[in-house]
Amino acid sequence: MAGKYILVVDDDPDLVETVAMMLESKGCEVGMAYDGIEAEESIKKRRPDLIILDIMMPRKDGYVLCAELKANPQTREIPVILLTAVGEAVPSTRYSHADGMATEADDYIPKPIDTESLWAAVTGLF
Amino acid sequence: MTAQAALGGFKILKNVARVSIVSKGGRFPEELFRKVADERINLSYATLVSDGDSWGLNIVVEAADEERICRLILEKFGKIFTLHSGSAVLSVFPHRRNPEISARLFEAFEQQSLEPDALANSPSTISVVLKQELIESASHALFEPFTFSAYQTPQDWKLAQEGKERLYKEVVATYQEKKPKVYGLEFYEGQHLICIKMNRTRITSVGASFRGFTRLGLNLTFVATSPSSGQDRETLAFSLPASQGEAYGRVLKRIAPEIEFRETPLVTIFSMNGPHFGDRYGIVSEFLESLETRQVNLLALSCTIASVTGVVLREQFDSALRAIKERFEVPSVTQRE
Repeated sequence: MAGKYILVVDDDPDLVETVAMMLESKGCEVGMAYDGIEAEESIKKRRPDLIILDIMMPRKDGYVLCAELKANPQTREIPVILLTAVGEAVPSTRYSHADGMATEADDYIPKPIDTESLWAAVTGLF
Repeated sequence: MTAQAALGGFKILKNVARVSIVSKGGRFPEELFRKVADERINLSYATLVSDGDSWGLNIVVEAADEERICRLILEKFGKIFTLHSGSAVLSVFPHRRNPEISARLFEAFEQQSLEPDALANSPSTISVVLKQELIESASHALFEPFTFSAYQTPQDWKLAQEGKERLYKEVVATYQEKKPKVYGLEFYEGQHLICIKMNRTRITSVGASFRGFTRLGLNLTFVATSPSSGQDRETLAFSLPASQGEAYGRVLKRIAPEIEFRETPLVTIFSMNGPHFGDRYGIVSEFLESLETRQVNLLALSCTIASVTGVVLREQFDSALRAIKERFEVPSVTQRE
Protein backbone atom coordinates (compact mmCIF):
# COMPACT_ATOMS: atom_id res chain seq x y z
CA MET A 1 0.00 0.00 0.00
CA ALA A 2 2.98 2.27 0.47
CA GLY A 3 3.01 5.06 -2.07
CA LYS A 4 -0.66 4.71 -3.08
CA TYR A 5 -2.24 8.11 -3.54
CA ILE A 6 -5.69 8.32 -1.94
CA LEU A 7 -8.05 11.30 -2.19
CA VAL A 8 -10.29 11.88 0.84
CA VAL A 9 -13.36 14.04 0.21
CA ASP A 10 -15.68 15.21 2.99
CA ASP A 11 -16.98 18.60 4.12
CA ASP A 12 -16.08 17.74 7.73
CA PRO A 13 -12.39 18.77 7.96
CA ASP A 14 -11.90 16.83 11.22
CA LEU A 15 -13.05 13.60 9.57
CA VAL A 16 -10.76 14.27 6.59
CA GLU A 17 -7.88 14.78 9.03
CA THR A 18 -8.68 11.61 11.01
CA VAL A 19 -8.83 9.51 7.84
CA ALA A 20 -5.75 11.21 6.37
CA MET A 21 -3.67 10.51 9.47
CA MET A 22 -4.77 6.88 9.49
CA LEU A 23 -3.85 6.45 5.80
CA GLU A 24 -0.54 8.28 6.21
CA SER A 25 0.35 6.02 9.14
CA LYS A 26 -0.08 3.06 6.74
CA GLY A 27 2.31 4.62 4.22
CA CYS A 28 -0.24 6.09 1.79
CA GLU A 29 -0.01 9.52 0.26
CA VAL A 30 -3.16 11.54 0.90
CA GLY A 31 -4.93 14.33 -0.95
CA MET A 32 -7.72 16.24 0.75
CA ALA A 33 -10.80 17.97 -0.67
CA TYR A 34 -13.82 19.44 1.08
CA ASP A 35 -16.55 19.33 -1.55
CA GLY A 36 -17.31 17.71 -4.91
CA ILE A 37 -16.06 20.56 -7.08
CA GLU A 38 -12.76 20.75 -5.24
CA ALA A 39 -12.40 16.97 -5.55
CA GLU A 40 -13.00 17.20 -9.30
CA GLU A 41 -10.25 19.82 -9.63
CA SER A 42 -7.91 17.72 -7.53
CA ILE A 43 -8.54 14.60 -9.68
CA LYS A 44 -7.73 16.60 -12.83
CA LYS A 45 -4.41 17.67 -11.35
CA ARG A 46 -3.40 14.25 -10.05
CA ARG A 47 -5.16 10.97 -10.67
CA PRO A 48 -5.71 9.18 -7.36
CA ASP A 49 -5.36 5.42 -6.92
CA LEU A 50 -8.54 5.44 -4.83
CA ILE A 51 -11.16 7.95 -3.68
CA ILE A 52 -12.93 7.99 -0.31
CA LEU A 53 -16.02 10.07 -0.97
CA ASP A 54 -18.67 11.49 1.34
CA ILE A 55 -22.15 11.84 -0.16
CA MET A 56 -23.65 14.83 1.62
CA MET A 57 -21.61 17.83 0.53
CA PRO A 58 -22.29 21.33 -0.79
CA ARG A 59 -21.77 22.44 -4.40
CA LYS A 60 -21.54 18.92 -5.82
CA ASP A 61 -22.52 15.94 -3.70
CA GLY A 62 -20.93 12.51 -3.67
CA TYR A 63 -23.70 10.88 -5.75
CA VAL A 64 -23.20 13.26 -8.65
CA LEU A 65 -19.41 13.13 -8.51
CA CYS A 66 -19.40 9.32 -8.30
CA ALA A 67 -21.80 9.05 -11.27
CA GLU A 68 -19.64 11.44 -13.33
CA LEU A 69 -16.43 9.59 -12.50
CA LYS A 70 -17.96 6.24 -13.42
CA ALA A 71 -19.39 7.63 -16.69
CA ASN A 72 -16.01 9.00 -17.77
CA PRO A 73 -13.75 6.41 -19.48
CA GLN A 74 -10.69 8.22 -18.09
CA THR A 75 -11.77 7.92 -14.47
CA ARG A 76 -14.15 4.97 -14.31
CA GLU A 77 -11.43 2.57 -13.19
CA ILE A 78 -10.57 4.61 -10.09
CA PRO A 79 -12.04 2.71 -7.11
CA VAL A 80 -14.51 4.77 -5.07
CA ILE A 81 -15.51 4.07 -1.47
CA LEU A 82 -18.67 5.97 -0.64
CA LEU A 83 -19.26 7.14 2.92
CA THR A 84 -23.03 6.91 3.27
CA ALA A 85 -25.02 8.74 5.94
CA VAL A 86 -27.44 7.50 8.56
CA GLY A 87 -30.17 9.06 6.45
CA GLU A 88 -32.71 6.58 7.78
CA ALA A 89 -33.04 8.90 10.77
CA VAL A 90 -33.87 11.83 8.48
CA PRO A 91 -36.40 10.50 5.99
CA SER A 92 -36.64 13.84 4.20
CA THR A 93 -33.10 13.53 2.83
CA ARG A 94 -31.92 11.33 -0.01
CA TYR A 95 -28.60 10.72 1.71
CA SER A 96 -29.37 7.31 3.15
CA HIS A 97 -27.23 4.18 3.09
CA ALA A 98 -29.76 2.54 0.74
CA ASP A 99 -29.52 5.46 -1.68
CA GLY A 100 -25.73 5.24 -1.52
CA MET A 101 -25.86 1.52 -2.34
CA ALA A 102 -27.74 2.36 -5.55
CA THR A 103 -24.70 4.15 -6.98
CA GLU A 104 -21.85 2.57 -8.93
CA ALA A 105 -19.32 3.01 -6.14
CA ASP A 106 -16.98 0.08 -5.49
CA ASP A 107 -17.68 -0.11 -1.78
CA TYR A 108 -19.95 1.56 0.77
CA ILE A 109 -19.29 2.36 4.42
CA PRO A 110 -22.17 3.73 6.52
CA LYS A 111 -21.45 6.64 8.85
CA PRO A 112 -20.48 6.90 11.62
CA ILE A 113 -17.47 5.10 10.19
CA ASP A 114 -14.60 3.59 12.09
CA THR A 115 -11.16 3.92 10.63
CA GLU A 116 -10.31 0.21 11.01
CA SER A 117 -13.28 -0.85 8.85
CA LEU A 118 -12.39 1.84 6.36
CA TRP A 119 -8.82 0.56 6.14
CA ALA A 120 -10.14 -2.97 5.56
CA ALA A 121 -12.26 -1.62 2.70
CA VAL A 122 -9.29 0.25 1.21
CA THR A 123 -7.02 -2.81 1.26
CA GLY A 124 -9.85 -4.90 -0.20
CA LEU A 125 -9.84 -2.77 -3.34
CA PHE A 126 -6.15 -3.20 -4.19
CA MET B 1 6.38 39.33 2.80
CA THR B 2 6.70 35.57 3.17
CA ALA B 3 5.10 33.25 0.63
CA GLN B 4 1.46 32.41 1.15
CA ALA B 5 0.62 29.12 2.87
CA ALA B 6 -1.74 26.76 1.05
CA LEU B 7 -4.82 25.70 3.01
CA GLY B 8 -7.91 23.67 2.16
CA GLY B 9 -10.54 26.22 3.09
CA PHE B 10 -12.42 28.10 5.76
CA LYS B 11 -15.93 28.11 7.18
CA ILE B 12 -17.97 30.83 8.81
CA LEU B 13 -20.81 30.21 11.23
CA LYS B 14 -22.90 33.35 11.69
CA ASN B 15 -25.75 34.29 14.03
CA VAL B 16 -24.33 32.84 17.19
CA ALA B 17 -23.82 34.20 20.71
CA ARG B 18 -20.87 33.68 23.01
CA VAL B 19 -21.31 33.26 26.75
CA SER B 20 -18.14 33.74 28.80
CA ILE B 21 -17.96 32.51 32.37
CA VAL B 22 -15.40 32.57 35.17
CA SER B 23 -16.47 30.41 38.07
CA LYS B 24 -15.13 28.56 41.06
CA GLY B 25 -16.00 25.00 42.00
CA GLY B 26 -14.64 21.60 41.06
CA ARG B 27 -17.71 20.08 39.41
CA PHE B 28 -19.09 23.30 37.99
CA PRO B 29 -18.40 22.62 34.27
CA GLU B 30 -19.94 19.15 34.44
CA GLU B 31 -23.10 20.48 36.11
CA LEU B 32 -23.39 23.37 33.67
CA PHE B 33 -22.97 21.25 30.54
CA ARG B 34 -25.45 18.67 31.88
CA LYS B 35 -28.08 21.42 32.27
CA VAL B 36 -27.34 22.68 28.75
CA ALA B 37 -27.71 19.13 27.38
CA ASP B 38 -30.96 18.59 29.29
CA GLU B 39 -32.32 21.70 27.57
CA ARG B 40 -31.13 20.30 24.19
CA ILE B 41 -29.18 23.44 23.41
CA ASN B 42 -26.72 22.75 20.59
CA LEU B 43 -23.18 23.96 21.26
CA SER B 44 -21.34 25.41 18.30
CA TYR B 45 -18.09 25.81 20.17
CA ALA B 46 -16.78 25.49 23.73
CA THR B 47 -13.51 25.99 25.58
CA LEU B 48 -12.68 25.40 29.17
CA VAL B 49 -9.40 26.06 31.00
CA SER B 50 -8.75 25.28 34.65
CA ASP B 51 -6.95 27.84 36.75
CA GLY B 52 -6.45 25.81 39.90
CA ASP B 53 -9.66 26.35 41.83
CA SER B 54 -11.52 28.30 39.16
CA TRP B 55 -12.67 27.71 35.58
CA GLY B 56 -12.75 29.95 32.53
CA LEU B 57 -15.31 28.93 29.92
CA ASN B 58 -16.47 30.11 26.51
CA ILE B 59 -19.67 28.64 25.13
CA VAL B 60 -21.11 29.52 21.73
CA VAL B 61 -24.76 28.79 20.91
CA GLU B 62 -27.10 29.71 18.08
CA ALA B 63 -28.57 33.20 18.52
CA ALA B 64 -32.02 31.64 18.88
CA ASP B 65 -30.82 29.88 22.06
CA GLU B 66 -29.07 32.81 23.75
CA GLU B 67 -31.99 33.80 25.97
CA ARG B 68 -32.57 30.21 27.02
CA ILE B 69 -28.97 29.56 27.99
CA CYS B 70 -28.70 32.83 29.92
CA ARG B 71 -31.90 32.08 31.82
CA LEU B 72 -30.67 28.59 32.59
CA ILE B 73 -27.30 29.76 33.94
CA LEU B 74 -28.93 32.56 35.91
CA GLU B 75 -31.46 30.23 37.55
CA LYS B 76 -28.98 27.48 38.40
CA PHE B 77 -25.73 29.32 39.04
CA GLY B 78 -26.47 33.06 39.35
CA LYS B 79 -25.14 35.98 37.30
CA ILE B 80 -21.71 34.52 36.67
CA PHE B 81 -21.67 35.05 32.90
CA THR B 82 -21.30 37.73 30.26
CA LEU B 83 -23.36 37.45 27.07
CA HIS B 84 -21.79 38.56 23.79
CA SER B 85 -24.59 38.67 21.20
CA GLY B 86 -23.92 39.06 17.49
CA SER B 87 -20.94 36.75 17.27
CA ALA B 88 -19.63 34.49 14.52
CA VAL B 89 -17.10 31.66 14.30
CA LEU B 90 -14.48 31.57 11.55
CA SER B 91 -12.61 28.28 11.11
CA VAL B 92 -9.59 27.66 8.84
CA PHE B 93 -8.32 24.22 7.88
CA PRO B 94 -6.25 22.09 7.84
CA HIS B 95 -3.56 23.33 10.23
CA ARG B 96 -1.85 19.92 10.52
CA ARG B 97 -0.48 20.98 13.95
CA ASN B 98 1.80 23.50 12.31
CA PRO B 99 2.18 26.57 14.59
CA GLU B 100 2.90 28.63 11.49
CA ILE B 101 -0.78 28.49 10.52
CA SER B 102 -1.92 29.88 13.89
CA ALA B 103 0.85 32.49 13.74
CA ARG B 104 -0.17 33.68 10.27
CA LEU B 105 -3.81 33.84 11.31
CA PHE B 106 -3.01 35.96 14.36
CA GLU B 107 -0.66 38.13 12.30
CA ALA B 108 -3.33 38.77 9.65
CA PHE B 109 -5.80 39.82 12.33
CA GLU B 110 -3.24 42.01 14.06
CA GLN B 111 -2.42 43.81 10.81
CA GLN B 112 -6.12 44.56 10.27
CA SER B 113 -6.64 45.49 13.94
CA LEU B 114 -9.14 42.67 14.29
CA GLU B 115 -9.47 41.41 17.82
CA PRO B 116 -10.59 37.80 18.21
CA ASP B 117 -12.85 37.18 21.20
CA ALA B 118 -11.92 33.54 21.58
CA LEU B 119 -9.91 30.85 19.83
CA ALA B 120 -9.62 27.06 19.86
CA ASN B 121 -8.34 24.27 17.67
CA SER B 122 -9.66 20.89 16.65
CA PRO B 123 -7.44 18.23 15.03
CA SER B 124 -7.89 19.91 11.65
CA THR B 125 -9.12 23.41 12.30
CA ILE B 126 -8.39 26.66 14.08
CA SER B 127 -11.66 28.34 15.06
CA VAL B 128 -11.84 32.01 16.01
CA VAL B 129 -14.86 33.69 17.58
CA LEU B 130 -15.33 37.27 16.42
CA LYS B 131 -17.98 39.95 16.46
CA GLN B 132 -20.17 39.28 13.44
CA GLU B 133 -19.63 42.81 12.12
CA LEU B 134 -15.92 41.96 11.73
CA ILE B 135 -16.43 38.77 9.74
CA GLU B 136 -16.30 40.41 6.31
CA SER B 137 -12.94 42.06 7.10
CA ALA B 138 -11.65 38.88 8.72
CA SER B 139 -12.50 36.69 5.73
CA HIS B 140 -10.82 39.19 3.39
CA ALA B 141 -7.77 39.26 5.66
CA LEU B 142 -7.32 35.50 5.23
CA PHE B 143 -6.44 35.90 1.56
CA GLU B 144 -3.25 37.78 2.47
CA PRO B 145 -1.34 35.00 4.29
CA PHE B 146 -3.15 32.00 2.81
CA THR B 147 -4.23 30.53 -0.51
CA PHE B 148 -7.18 28.18 -0.72
CA SER B 149 -7.39 25.41 -3.27
CA ALA B 150 -11.16 25.79 -3.80
CA TYR B 151 -11.37 29.60 -4.12
CA GLN B 152 -9.04 32.38 -5.15
CA THR B 153 -10.99 35.38 -3.84
CA PRO B 154 -13.52 36.17 -1.09
CA GLN B 155 -16.18 36.32 -3.83
CA ASP B 156 -15.35 32.76 -4.94
CA TRP B 157 -15.68 31.68 -1.34
CA LYS B 158 -19.15 33.25 -1.02
CA LEU B 159 -20.35 31.39 -4.10
CA ALA B 160 -19.03 28.14 -2.69
CA GLN B 161 -21.12 28.53 0.47
CA GLU B 162 -24.54 28.31 -1.17
CA GLY B 163 -26.59 25.52 0.32
CA LYS B 164 -24.21 24.79 3.17
CA GLU B 165 -26.52 26.09 5.90
CA ARG B 166 -29.41 23.96 4.67
CA LEU B 167 -27.21 20.86 4.72
CA TYR B 168 -26.09 21.66 8.25
CA LYS B 169 -29.67 22.00 9.51
CA GLU B 170 -30.67 18.71 7.90
CA VAL B 171 -27.89 16.67 9.37
CA VAL B 172 -27.26 18.09 12.83
CA ALA B 173 -30.27 16.31 14.32
CA THR B 174 -29.44 13.02 12.63
CA TYR B 175 -27.15 11.49 15.21
CA GLN B 176 -28.65 10.95 18.64
CA GLU B 177 -27.36 7.49 19.51
CA LYS B 178 -27.58 6.05 23.02
CA LYS B 179 -23.81 5.43 23.03
CA PRO B 180 -22.20 7.96 20.68
CA LYS B 181 -19.70 6.49 18.26
CA VAL B 182 -16.42 8.27 17.61
CA TYR B 183 -14.57 7.93 14.32
CA GLY B 184 -11.29 7.68 16.15
CA LEU B 185 -9.48 8.78 19.30
CA GLU B 186 -5.92 10.00 19.02
CA PHE B 187 -3.55 11.14 21.71
CA TYR B 188 -0.19 12.87 22.16
CA GLU B 189 1.96 12.08 25.17
CA GLY B 190 4.90 13.98 26.64
CA GLN B 191 3.39 17.43 26.25
CA HIS B 192 3.52 20.51 28.44
CA LEU B 193 0.43 22.65 28.90
CA ILE B 194 1.39 26.31 28.94
CA CYS B 195 -1.05 28.94 30.20
CA ILE B 196 -0.41 32.65 29.79
CA LYS B 197 -2.67 35.20 31.44
CA MET B 198 -2.73 38.51 29.65
CA ASN B 199 -4.86 41.39 28.56
CA ARG B 200 -7.12 40.34 25.71
CA THR B 201 -5.62 42.95 23.38
CA ARG B 202 -2.24 41.20 23.53
CA ILE B 203 -3.40 37.79 22.35
CA THR B 204 -2.92 38.45 18.64
CA SER B 205 0.64 39.71 19.07
CA VAL B 206 1.63 36.79 21.31
CA GLY B 207 -0.12 34.33 18.98
CA ALA B 208 1.66 35.77 15.94
CA SER B 209 4.96 34.87 17.53
CA PHE B 210 4.06 31.16 17.46
CA ARG B 211 6.11 31.29 14.28
CA GLY B 212 9.14 30.84 16.55
CA PHE B 213 7.83 27.35 17.40
CA THR B 214 7.76 26.47 13.70
CA ARG B 215 11.44 27.25 13.43
CA LEU B 216 12.05 24.78 16.26
CA GLY B 217 10.04 22.15 14.40
CA LEU B 218 7.44 21.88 17.18
CA ASN B 219 3.89 20.62 16.69
CA LEU B 220 1.08 22.63 18.26
CA THR B 221 -1.42 20.00 19.37
CA PHE B 222 -3.74 22.14 21.48
CA VAL B 223 -4.59 25.83 21.65
CA ALA B 224 -7.53 27.58 23.30
CA THR B 225 -8.36 30.82 25.02
CA SER B 226 -10.66 31.27 27.97
CA PRO B 227 -11.77 34.20 30.09
CA SER B 228 -9.83 34.79 33.26
CA SER B 229 -10.56 36.70 36.45
CA GLY B 230 -9.90 40.42 36.12
CA GLN B 231 -11.05 43.08 33.66
CA ASP B 232 -10.39 42.00 30.05
CA ARG B 233 -8.05 39.25 31.19
CA GLU B 234 -7.76 36.11 29.10
CA THR B 235 -5.85 32.88 29.38
CA LEU B 236 -4.07 31.61 26.28
CA ALA B 237 -3.49 27.87 26.78
CA PHE B 238 -1.47 25.71 24.41
CA SER B 239 0.62 22.58 24.42
CA LEU B 240 4.10 21.83 23.11
CA PRO B 241 6.41 18.82 23.39
CA ALA B 242 7.98 18.59 26.85
CA SER B 243 11.29 17.49 25.33
CA GLN B 244 11.68 20.97 23.84
CA GLY B 245 10.83 22.83 27.06
CA GLU B 246 14.02 24.88 27.25
CA ALA B 247 13.84 25.88 23.60
CA TYR B 248 10.24 27.07 23.62
CA GLY B 249 10.79 28.74 26.99
CA ARG B 250 13.48 30.89 25.33
CA VAL B 251 11.09 31.72 22.48
CA LEU B 252 8.37 32.76 24.93
CA LYS B 253 10.78 34.96 26.90
CA ARG B 254 11.96 36.61 23.71
CA ILE B 255 8.39 37.25 22.51
CA ALA B 256 7.22 38.90 25.67
CA PRO B 257 9.77 39.07 28.48
CA GLU B 258 7.24 40.52 30.90
CA ILE B 259 4.61 37.82 30.60
CA GLU B 260 4.44 35.05 33.11
CA PHE B 261 3.52 31.62 31.94
CA ARG B 262 2.41 28.66 33.98
CA GLU B 263 3.55 25.23 32.83
CA THR B 264 1.86 21.98 33.69
CA PRO B 265 4.45 19.33 32.90
CA LEU B 266 3.75 16.02 31.26
CA VAL B 267 0.19 16.14 30.12
CA THR B 268 -1.58 14.03 27.50
CA ILE B 269 -3.69 15.66 24.81
CA PHE B 270 -6.46 13.52 23.33
CA SER B 271 -9.05 14.23 20.66
CA MET B 272 -12.26 12.43 19.82
CA ASN B 273 -13.65 13.07 16.38
CA GLY B 274 -17.26 12.06 15.79
CA PRO B 275 -20.35 13.05 13.84
CA HIS B 276 -21.17 16.65 14.74
CA PHE B 277 -19.27 16.35 18.01
CA GLY B 278 -18.49 20.04 17.78
CA ASP B 279 -21.99 21.35 17.35
CA ARG B 280 -24.64 19.17 18.95
CA TYR B 281 -25.88 18.96 22.49
CA GLY B 282 -24.92 16.22 24.92
CA ILE B 283 -21.43 15.36 23.74
CA VAL B 284 -19.40 17.62 26.05
CA SER B 285 -21.60 16.78 29.03
CA GLU B 286 -21.20 13.05 28.37
CA PHE B 287 -17.44 13.57 28.06
CA LEU B 288 -17.20 15.53 31.33
CA GLU B 289 -19.44 13.10 33.23
CA SER B 290 -17.37 10.16 32.09
CA LEU B 291 -14.19 11.78 33.44
CA GLU B 292 -15.90 12.67 36.69
CA THR B 293 -16.89 9.05 37.31
CA ARG B 294 -13.19 8.07 37.25
CA GLN B 295 -12.04 11.15 39.21
CA VAL B 296 -10.02 12.45 36.30
CA ASN B 297 -9.11 16.12 36.62
CA LEU B 298 -9.55 17.86 33.31
CA LEU B 299 -7.06 20.69 32.80
CA ALA B 300 -8.46 22.10 29.56
CA LEU B 301 -10.95 21.32 26.82
CA SER B 302 -11.87 22.55 23.37
CA CYS B 303 -14.89 21.54 21.36
CA THR B 304 -15.23 22.80 17.82
CA ILE B 305 -16.02 21.57 14.28
CA ALA B 306 -16.47 17.82 14.92
CA SER B 307 -14.12 17.07 17.80
CA VAL B 308 -13.70 17.27 21.53
CA THR B 309 -10.11 17.67 22.72
CA GLY B 310 -9.13 17.19 26.35
CA VAL B 311 -5.95 17.78 28.35
CA VAL B 312 -5.18 15.65 31.42
CA LEU B 313 -2.11 14.79 33.47
CA ARG B 314 -0.20 11.91 31.90
CA GLU B 315 -0.79 9.61 34.87
CA GLN B 316 -4.55 10.11 34.53
CA PHE B 317 -4.81 9.32 30.82
CA ASP B 318 -5.42 5.58 31.27
CA SER B 319 -8.32 6.34 33.61
CA ALA B 320 -9.64 8.94 31.19
CA LEU B 321 -9.55 6.44 28.33
CA ARG B 322 -11.36 3.78 30.35
CA ALA B 323 -14.01 6.33 31.33
CA ILE B 324 -14.54 7.46 27.75
CA LYS B 325 -14.86 3.90 26.48
CA GLU B 326 -17.65 3.32 28.99
CA ARG B 327 -19.72 6.16 27.52
CA PHE B 328 -18.60 6.26 23.89
CA GLU B 329 -18.04 3.59 21.27
CA VAL B 330 -14.34 3.93 20.46
CA PRO B 331 -13.27 1.68 17.58
CA SER B 332 -9.64 2.79 17.50
CA VAL B 333 -7.15 4.56 19.75
CA THR B 334 -4.00 5.89 18.09
CA GLN B 335 -0.91 7.41 19.64
CA ARG B 336 0.53 10.23 17.55
CA GLU B 337 4.07 11.53 17.58
